[in-house]
Amino acid sequence: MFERSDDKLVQQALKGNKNAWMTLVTRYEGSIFNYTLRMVGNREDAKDLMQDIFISVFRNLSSFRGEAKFKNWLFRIAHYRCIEFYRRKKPTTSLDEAPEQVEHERDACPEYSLKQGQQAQALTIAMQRLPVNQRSVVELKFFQNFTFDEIAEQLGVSSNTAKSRLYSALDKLKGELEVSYA
Amino acid sequence: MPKSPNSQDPKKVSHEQLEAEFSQWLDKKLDLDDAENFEQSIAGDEALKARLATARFIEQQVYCYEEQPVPKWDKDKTFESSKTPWWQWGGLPLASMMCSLLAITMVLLKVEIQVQDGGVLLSFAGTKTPTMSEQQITTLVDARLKDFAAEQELVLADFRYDLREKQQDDSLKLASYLLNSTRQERKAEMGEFLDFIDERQKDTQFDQNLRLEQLEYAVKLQQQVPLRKTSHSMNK
Repeated sequence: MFERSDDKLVQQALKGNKNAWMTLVTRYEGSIFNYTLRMVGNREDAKDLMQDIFISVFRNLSSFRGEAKFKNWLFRIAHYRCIEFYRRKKPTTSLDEAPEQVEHERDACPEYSLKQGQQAQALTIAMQRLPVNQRSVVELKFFQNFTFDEIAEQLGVSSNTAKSRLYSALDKLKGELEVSYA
Repeated sequence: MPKSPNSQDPKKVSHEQLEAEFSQWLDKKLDLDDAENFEQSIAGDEALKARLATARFIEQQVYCYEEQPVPKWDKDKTFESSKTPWWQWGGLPLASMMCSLLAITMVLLKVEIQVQDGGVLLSFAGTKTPTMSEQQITTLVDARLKDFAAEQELVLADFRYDLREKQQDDSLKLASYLLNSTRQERKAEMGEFLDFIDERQKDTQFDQNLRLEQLEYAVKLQQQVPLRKTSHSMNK
């Protein structure tokens, strides 16, 4: 009830209120860390990427106009930092290409705890096989619950492009997850 | 919530319409009834059915997904104080470059800035108005000459003063020398003169003594002569 809104915290942080900024970070670090973890597949890279994202958010805080939700704006920056990360790590791989098969994906992702259901683990592992562009849309649609319009704005593409990427991702994941339907 | 077009004959619903509904289903813009109708309407579209099933499956897995705890990380690094030291001002490199460009431009264009009494004169490529510079040079030279003349006058005045004093000093010395030497000469001449007077007086005295003696002799002779005459007459 007495929780300060995101906009209020942003205003206070812009005035130099460190406490307000820390509150904002704490509020979103969980979702951002898990986002980066699902995007990059390992804990160390996810942690570094999360830090990059928050540093970038702080530096660009003055450009947040409050026209959209802070969460939308945050994930927009997170997406761009993610893309930069991939371009640094794999400069020769296109964002629309599936990454090279990781031999032991479960070993590559030991961070996924045993508490996770097998199928949930299968999902996150299968997402690692998707091209970055499709993986982003799946992440934003299902894990962050953004609409296609919001996703399109964050990714800087049209709504139809976002839909097209999601449908392609669903087609691929069907095969990976061996989804059966009645 | 938008109304599903499935209230019409489902067979007549096109693939595009179904896809549109599917995107609305994904955006959770369909209510329960419309969602059910939609699921029934895609019975003949295998691709859409597969996608729907996959989407449902993913939604279930996301629902069961347990978020990983955030590891320890340095949150303070994300906060940058707005008070940056002046030497870290972001515009400093640009300002430095602009100053360098300005300096290079000024050198290439041979810019000259002259501050005069009335204001500032800015000239490019060595262009000058000759009259102005001649006047300036003349004025400057005159001023310098006046200063030099004034200096020289002072020096000359000092020299004259010194010279006068020296002359006076020398004259004084000469006069005192002359006075001294004249006094001594006079003293010597006076002495000689006095000696001469003494000698003349002595000579005169001697001469007078001699005449006196002669006179006495004559007198004596005179006295002797009458006695003899008397005696002679008597003898006759």
